[in-house]
Amino acid sequence: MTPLGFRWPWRRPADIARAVDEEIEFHLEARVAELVHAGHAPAEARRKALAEFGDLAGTRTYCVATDWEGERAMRRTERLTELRQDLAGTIRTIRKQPGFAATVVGTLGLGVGATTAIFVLIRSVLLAPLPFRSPAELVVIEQFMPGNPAASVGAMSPPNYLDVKATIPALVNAGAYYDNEATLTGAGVPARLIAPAVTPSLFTTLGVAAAIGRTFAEGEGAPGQPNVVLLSHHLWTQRFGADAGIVGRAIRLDSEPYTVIGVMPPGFVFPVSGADLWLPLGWDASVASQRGAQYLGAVGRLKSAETAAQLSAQLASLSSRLIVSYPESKDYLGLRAQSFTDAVVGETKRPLLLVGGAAVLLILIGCANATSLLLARVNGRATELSVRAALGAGRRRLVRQILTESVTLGGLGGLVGAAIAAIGLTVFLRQWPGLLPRQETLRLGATVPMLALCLSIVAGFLIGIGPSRQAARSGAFDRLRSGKQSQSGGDLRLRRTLVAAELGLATVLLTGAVLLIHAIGQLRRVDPGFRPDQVISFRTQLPSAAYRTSEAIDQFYGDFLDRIGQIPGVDGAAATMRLPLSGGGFGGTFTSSVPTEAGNEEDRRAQVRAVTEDYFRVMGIPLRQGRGFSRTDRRGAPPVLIASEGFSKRFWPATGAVGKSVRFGVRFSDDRPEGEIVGVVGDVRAAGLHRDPTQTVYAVSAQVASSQMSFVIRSRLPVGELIPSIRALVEARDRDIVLDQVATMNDVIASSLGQPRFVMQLLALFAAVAVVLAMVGIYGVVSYAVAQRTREIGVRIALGADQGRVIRTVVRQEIRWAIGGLAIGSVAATATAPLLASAVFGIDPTAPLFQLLAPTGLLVVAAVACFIPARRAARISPLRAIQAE
Amino acid sequence: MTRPPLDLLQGTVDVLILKSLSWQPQHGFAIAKWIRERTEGVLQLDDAALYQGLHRLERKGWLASEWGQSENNRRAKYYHLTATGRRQLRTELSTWRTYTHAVFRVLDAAGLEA
Repeated sequence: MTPLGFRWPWRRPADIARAVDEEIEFHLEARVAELVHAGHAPAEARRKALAEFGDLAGTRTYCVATDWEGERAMRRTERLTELRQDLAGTIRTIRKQPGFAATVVGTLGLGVGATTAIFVLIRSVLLAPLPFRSPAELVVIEQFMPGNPAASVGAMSPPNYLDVKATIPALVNAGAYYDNEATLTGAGVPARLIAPAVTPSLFTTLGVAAAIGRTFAEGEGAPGQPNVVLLSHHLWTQRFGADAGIVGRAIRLDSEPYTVIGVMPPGFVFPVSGADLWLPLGWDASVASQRGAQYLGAVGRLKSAETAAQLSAQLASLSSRLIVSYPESKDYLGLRAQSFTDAVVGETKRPLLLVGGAAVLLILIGCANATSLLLARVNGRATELSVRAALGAGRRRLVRQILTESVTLGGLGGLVGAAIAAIGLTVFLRQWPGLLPRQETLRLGATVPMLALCLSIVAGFLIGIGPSRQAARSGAFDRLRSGKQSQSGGDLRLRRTLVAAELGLATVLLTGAVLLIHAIGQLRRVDPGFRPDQVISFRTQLPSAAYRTSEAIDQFYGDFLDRIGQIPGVDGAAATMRLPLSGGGFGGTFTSSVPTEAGNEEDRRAQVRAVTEDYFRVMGIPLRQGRGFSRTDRRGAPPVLIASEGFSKRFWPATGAVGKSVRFGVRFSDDRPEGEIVGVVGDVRAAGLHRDPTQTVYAVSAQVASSQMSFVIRSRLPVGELIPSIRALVEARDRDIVLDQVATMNDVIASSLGQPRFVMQLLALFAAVAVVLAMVGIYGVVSYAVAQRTREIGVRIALGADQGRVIRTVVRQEIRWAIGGLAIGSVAATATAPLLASAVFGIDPTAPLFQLLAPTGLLVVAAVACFIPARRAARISPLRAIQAE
Repeated sequence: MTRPPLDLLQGTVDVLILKSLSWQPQHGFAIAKWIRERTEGVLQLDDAALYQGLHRLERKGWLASEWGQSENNRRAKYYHLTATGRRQLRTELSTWRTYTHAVFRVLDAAGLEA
């Protein structure tokens, strides 16, 4: 007997060997008897019989092996036959009860689809190694302000980078780059391309070679060297038709010729946000004075992945040596490193894992629901199953039948899930381009169906365990004898527990979604400091060769803004070097003519933004003190600045910033290092709606000319009408001017919330599915429980109980389970809320009102799902109820 | 006499076993005895080859077996032909007849019948 109470009908190798021995022994004994009868002595007869037999040992081995082979073939056939029967049974079930099958398949499909999609995303964003040689050895090296590490932007100055590269023994190599753009002309429509400048050593550090041609040679990029360029694979195929003879040809960037020296391989992406081409970066000796210029990203390669600790120590000691040598630059001399992979995906990790966790909750809810449905079905078939048991189907056989059914339904769910995942990911890639680092490396491919199928088969087994045990129990004969189906107390308890668990899990998801929706709703209500309605923005880039002088640039922009202002429907036009909420920005520390009132130790930093004189009026940023910029603030006139309210209050809380002169690392175009603050304007949350307003100092663009500007236009015209007329203005003037990044200011705000909004929308979607599943689950269980009690309810009604009372009794009994699940779910939700807060900014995990919202809502849903079957039961006619069994 | 080649021998064993079971189920010892008597000892089929043949044919599905009582009340394994086995016997018999007929025609060349 096996532990399952089932006798194994098959023969084991030992049984076979015993049978073969018995057969041969029978032969020998019969022959011996014959020979003895013929007059041989018994011992002699035995010897003779053995001799006649021939190779006894060999025959024995041969026979045992042959029989065992036959036995195994028989088992296989039998198993296959059973499997075929079970599959046929499953198909019958699906045909007979398409609603049941569709619910199970759909339930599992949603969970499997969500989980598959998220894990494919996690794999390509977080898990796949970066496309460089031994990425674990790569580190990002940053510079920070000693004593205030949090305030630093991380970018390095060239002398610091060169010192690190030359003197740190833990590094075998290092490379540096800065973000840069260039305008490509002469190859189709002029385009503004992402064109980082990189040191030649960057490629050797990353361990990547060119696919065609070569990467930069040492020394290229230094002042006076010829212009060379390295193309990305996509630029080469899209703009140059994958021309194999491209190396050595010249292309025009910013109106100057650059010689193509190579094309990088297709998978090479650097920096992670992607680049169209790379320009060489190098310095001459004059760079030594630039300790304070922070603009480089630096990447180093460790001797081995184990030397990270040594690297930190060596950077710290280099830092202290540099502080001794260059005390005047001490604010720029902190050095630190972090793993390159962490630097790339660090901020994405938590939100993605959070969403992955939510998907797992969803698949668990789906499994609970499917299990409950299968249990109900097994119970409905109790009589059939006990007949089969009586006819000799073992428990194992019944278990296998139910598992075949659940795994088949699971597999179908996997197909649905694979489709959902594929559609979901396609929509994601289209709707949210560039939301996550490296998402462009995501390929749908074979992973999606494989993962979906694996998940769904595991899920199919999981949901089959409870029901198949139930089926094995149905094999008990007493049920068949009594003809009743009422011994389902255990089954009903399991189903109620499952539904309670579903509700608990749904509570966690829904609470998360509510907290996120609330947080994002609050962020949307945060005053950004400007009025975004009716403001449209776009960016232009002047070809630098044609607009070499500040005068030419000023003249173009002044004229361009005037012409835009004359378009009917336009209320104002202005430009800025960088839009708020679009990342980046230029900042630095400053010194002032009048000491700040905040104490000397204070971190004297501010963002510097160049704007045209109408910027504040167009953006709706209020003037608080002093004056705004005017047309007279131009080149040659005394440099003027306008401070943000926060800047003014922070550094001159008593007297205000107006009238103070400050000096930044930047120089004004006519080489005057200092500007006087003439006014104070309202604060703007330029770094993000969830951040405090940025301390900003505005300069007037006429005094710090820049060839690249973002325009803001306040206009009652829709984007579709305004932009073509502006484009016409540009083209009438110069065909080589690039105009791109058209967006309303509201779009700019929305995309600054991209990641949390993405997490919120996914979580809301998951929560909605979870609520529907939980509702279906409760409804199913209550209907079932009520059906079991039809007779009892009929008797009660016959005895005069009114409908309302019957409904109340049923609902009261069932809702207890729901409340239990909700209570546990609320506790779990409270426990996970801090996790949510750490993954997405702006969440207040302690907002009690919003934690109560989800369980309360679910309680209402549960009550409705209980009420409907209860009312149906109460309406039944007593006569029919009593006849029901 | 010289020994026939192994493949011929194996084919011979098979057809002899099938033939010996064509009237009634038998155990191995009875089959061995029957073959020995019928061939009058010309074909020296040893018991080892016979039993290997029985198990091989059972594995092929030409024979089936069950345990029964022997003449002197011992437990013995009785083999019988399956439907496949019976079909196979017919095929093998006709093959053998054609084969021996052809061989005889060569050996008796220019002889009695020509």
